[in-house]
Amino acid sequence: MSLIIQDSGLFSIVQSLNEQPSPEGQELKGACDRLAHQLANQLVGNKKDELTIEMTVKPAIIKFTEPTIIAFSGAEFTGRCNNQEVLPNRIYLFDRGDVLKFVDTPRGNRVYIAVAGGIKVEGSNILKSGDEVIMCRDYTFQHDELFNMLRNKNMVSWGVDTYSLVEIYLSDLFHVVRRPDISDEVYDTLESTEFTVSKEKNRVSLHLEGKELEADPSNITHPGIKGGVYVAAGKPVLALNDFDQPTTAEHVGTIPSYHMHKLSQKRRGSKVKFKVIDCDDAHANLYAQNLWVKSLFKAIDYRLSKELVKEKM
Amino acid sequence: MFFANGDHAVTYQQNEVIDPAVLKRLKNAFDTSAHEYLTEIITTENTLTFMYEPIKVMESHDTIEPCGLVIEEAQGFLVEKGFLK
Repeated sequence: MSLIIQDSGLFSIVQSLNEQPSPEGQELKGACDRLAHQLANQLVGNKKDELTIEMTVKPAIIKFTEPTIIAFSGAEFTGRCNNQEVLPNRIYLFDRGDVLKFVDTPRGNRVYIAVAGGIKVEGSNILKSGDEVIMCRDYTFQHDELFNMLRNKNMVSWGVDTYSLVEIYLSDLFHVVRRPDISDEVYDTLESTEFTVSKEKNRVSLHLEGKELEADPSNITHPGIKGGVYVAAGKPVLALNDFDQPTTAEHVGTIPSYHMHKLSQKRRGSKVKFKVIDCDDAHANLYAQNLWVKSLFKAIDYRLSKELVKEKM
Repeated sequence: MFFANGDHAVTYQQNEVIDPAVLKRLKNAFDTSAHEYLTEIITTENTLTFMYEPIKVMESHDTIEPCGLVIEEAQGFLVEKGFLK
């Protein structure tokens, strides 16, 4: 049995956490929003690197063909199923025949849906209407207990509240690690301008409009690095997950990994501002976020265990 | 010139174009040898970029400033392979 993709939405893809060798016809290049991918998996008791479905702007409509535990995370989409509101960062059990649809959101771009026991696809991992996503059913003891608990009520009464994630997602300010050979004038313009996302090349790059940047031509071929801030025709281009080709566009700095979750949730019309920092500051921020994420995941585990123990008593 | 390229990469850059045969040799040498922190090399005709996992370096060395250690390792690799003196 499987999940049926009734409508694939704008762009839905089965995705891994990290880039990994892919079967023929698939490109598992890693989730754009790695935090949301891991969070959804953590909620349903999966390993953090299980495959999820990454859905962009207009999520897919999904039909369940057997009892299925899911959670989704990322953009602030809400779903509906059997007249029940389905919220992000919570755990739900759906039954055979249930159909999950999402309501459009003015904020955010990508949502990640995790399925307890894992998923896989045969053929292309880019989903089309009518495709089936195979449920692996690699259920652990915890999954069995979750199924038992959700049998009476199909949702868990708690979840990760939006305010917990505000620090990660809400701000429009992005750090850029400075390069030693870029002039202060370029960084002054970068910091003093509010840019607007004019377009996204899906999973590859975000193109910004705003005051023109005058980066001196260097005739250097730069590597395509995730988070790279490049200047093409005076406009910033931000490298997303799949930007992996060399480029002669001037490279003026790189957005640290801890701001890439937020960047991958920006869409056309979103505002973007920059703060230029040194590498050591970026590493201090990264370490702080890493500790915060670990404590969040531990809190989810603790809450889930407590709920399961309560259910047994 | 070496510089921190974000929080997961360090890049060596030079104005002169690097011979494609040298790039290939360095890539092969990187892929077939063991490294402490470097996980991947990405090359262009002017740059050699080394990827690393900063949290791993931080935890191994009890530091929040891993960049110097990574640049040292990358530089050591390029000297060992005869690319830098």
